[in-house]
Amino acid sequence: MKGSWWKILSVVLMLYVIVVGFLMPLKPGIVNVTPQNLNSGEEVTLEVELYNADITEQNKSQIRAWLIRDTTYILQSQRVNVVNDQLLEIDFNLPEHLPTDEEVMAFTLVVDAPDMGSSVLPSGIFVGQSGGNQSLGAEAWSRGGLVNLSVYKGFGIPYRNLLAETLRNTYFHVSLWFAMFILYFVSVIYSIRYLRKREVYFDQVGSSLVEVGTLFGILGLITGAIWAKNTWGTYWTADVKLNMAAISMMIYAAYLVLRISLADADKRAIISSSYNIFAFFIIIPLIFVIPRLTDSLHPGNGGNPGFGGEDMDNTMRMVFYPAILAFTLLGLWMANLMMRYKRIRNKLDEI
Amino acid sequence: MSVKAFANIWFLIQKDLNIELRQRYILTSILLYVVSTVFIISKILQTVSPMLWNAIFWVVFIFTAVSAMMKSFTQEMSDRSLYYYYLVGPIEIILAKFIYNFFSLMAMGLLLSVSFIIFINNPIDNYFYFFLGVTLGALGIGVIFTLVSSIASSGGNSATLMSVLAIPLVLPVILFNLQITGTALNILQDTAIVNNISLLLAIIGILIGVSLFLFPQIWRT
Repeated sequence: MKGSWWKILSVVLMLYVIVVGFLMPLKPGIVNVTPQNLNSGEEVTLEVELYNADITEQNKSQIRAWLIRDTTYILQSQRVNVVNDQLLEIDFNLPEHLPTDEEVMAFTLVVDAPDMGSSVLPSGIFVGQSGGNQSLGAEAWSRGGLVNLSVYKGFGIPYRNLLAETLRNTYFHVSLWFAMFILYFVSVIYSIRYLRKREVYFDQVGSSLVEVGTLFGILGLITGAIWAKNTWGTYWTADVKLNMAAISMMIYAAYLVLRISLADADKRAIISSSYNIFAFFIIIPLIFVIPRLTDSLHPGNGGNPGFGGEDMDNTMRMVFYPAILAFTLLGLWMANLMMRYKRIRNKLDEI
Repeated sequence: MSVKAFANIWFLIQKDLNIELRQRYILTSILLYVVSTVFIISKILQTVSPMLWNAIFWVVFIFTAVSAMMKSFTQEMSDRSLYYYYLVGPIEIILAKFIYNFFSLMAMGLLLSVSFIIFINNPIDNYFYFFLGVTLGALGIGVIFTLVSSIASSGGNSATLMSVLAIPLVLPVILFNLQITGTALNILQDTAIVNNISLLLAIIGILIGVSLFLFPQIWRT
C-alpha cells in the first residue's frame, strides 16, 4: 500500500468529480422569451421561462428586470408578475425611439431577484423601429440604472444558453484530452529513453502509455460527439478541429497496427519508439495550431473564445482541475497495469 | 559539418542517381503509373472543376509518392548498409536521402502537373503559388516518406507498413498544400497564403529536426 497512494488519490478524485460534477446545480438562467421581436413605442408583456429559478414568497415581490445594451442603455420593466416558479410575465414600456439610426437593435434581458442572482439572456431581444431619432432614443434609454444587483447564494455553475446542463461535460471531455496529451508526452520521454538506453522496460512503459492515451483520445472523441449532438445538433460535422482530432487518432491507430505487425521484439521496440516520437511532433500542430487559424465551431478555435472568462468560473475550476488530475493518475495506473501485463507475458514467452 | 560531409552527401546522391538510372524499370514504371492514372481520370470525369482538380491532383501525388519512395530504403541491401555504416555517418545518409527524394518528388510533381494540364485541363491561375505548393509538397512529403520508409524497411513487411504509416502522417502537410494550390487555382482567397506557407515551413522544419534525431537510432538496427 505504501507506493500506491496516488492510485487511491485517483479513485477519490474521480469519485469527487463524478459526484460533485453531476450534483452541483446550475445557476438560474433564462431559457426562452416570447415574443422576441418587439417594436419601439409599444407596451409589451414578455413571457420569460426560467431554469432552476428559486422564487419564494420572500423574494417574489422584489424581482426586477431590465433590457440593456452595453450597460449604457438601460430600460427597467414596469411590472413583474410571477405565474409560477419557472415562468414570469414582465411588462415593458418601450420608448418611441431607439438609441440608434438602424432599424433593429438587439438587447440583453436581465432578470434579478434577491438570493437568486441575476439571469441574463445575451442579445436575445430585438426591438425594431421606423424612422428613429437617435438623440431622443439615447435620452429615453438612459434613465434607468442597474443598481443593487443580488448575488447567488450557494454553489452553482453558470447557466449558458444552448449549453445548459451539458456544461458538465467540460469535466470529462476536456479533461480526457488533457490527460491524453500528458500521457503521450510522458510516453515520448520513455521512447527517447528507450532509444538511448535500449532497455525493454522503457519500451514497455512507453507503449503502454500510448495505448492508454489512445483509449482516452477515443473516449474524448465520443464524449465530444455526444456534446455536439446536444448543442450543435449532430454527432459529427466537417469541422477543422474534429477532423484534426480524427487524423491524430488515425496516426496513433497506425502505431497500434505497427506494433501488431512486427514480430521481432527488439525491432518492434525500436521502430515503434521512433514512430511515437515522430507522431507526437506531428499532432502538436494538428490539434493546437491549425484549428486556431481557420474557422471552427469548437470553443477556443478560429476566433471562438475558449471556456475561460464567464463560462469557466471558480466553482467549475474546483471540479475541472481535480478532473484533469484524476484522469491523468487513472491513466498512469492503467498504463502501469498494462506494463506489468507485458512484463509477465515477456517472461512467459522466454520460458 | 565539414567539407568531407558535403562530399559524402554529394557522393551518396550520385550513387542513388546512378542506381536509379541503371535500374530503369523504376523510372519507367512511375512514368507509366502517372500517365495512365491521369489518362483514366480524364476518361472517367469528362469535365473537372478546379476544386476536384485540386483534390485529385494531391491524391495521385500521395499514391505515386508512396510507390516511388517505397524503394528508398528497401533497395539498400543489408550488407551494403553495413558498408555505408562504416563509411559515412547516419546524418549524412539521411540528408542525402532527403535531398535526393526531394528532387525526385519534384520531378514527379512536375510530370504530374504537366500530364494533368495536358489530359484534363488547366485551371491554374497563379503559376507561382502552384509551383510553390508543389515544391513545398515535395519537400514535406519527401521528408515524411523518407523517414517512414526507413522505419518500414527495418520492419521487414514494408509495402503494407509503408502505406499504413505514411498516409496518416502526411495529412497535415497535404492539408496546407491543398490550401496553397487551392489559392493558385482561385478556389480560395489569398488572404491566408503567407500564414499557410510559413506554418507549412515550420512543420517541415520540425519534421526535419525530429528525423535528424531519430534516424541515427533507427539506422543502428
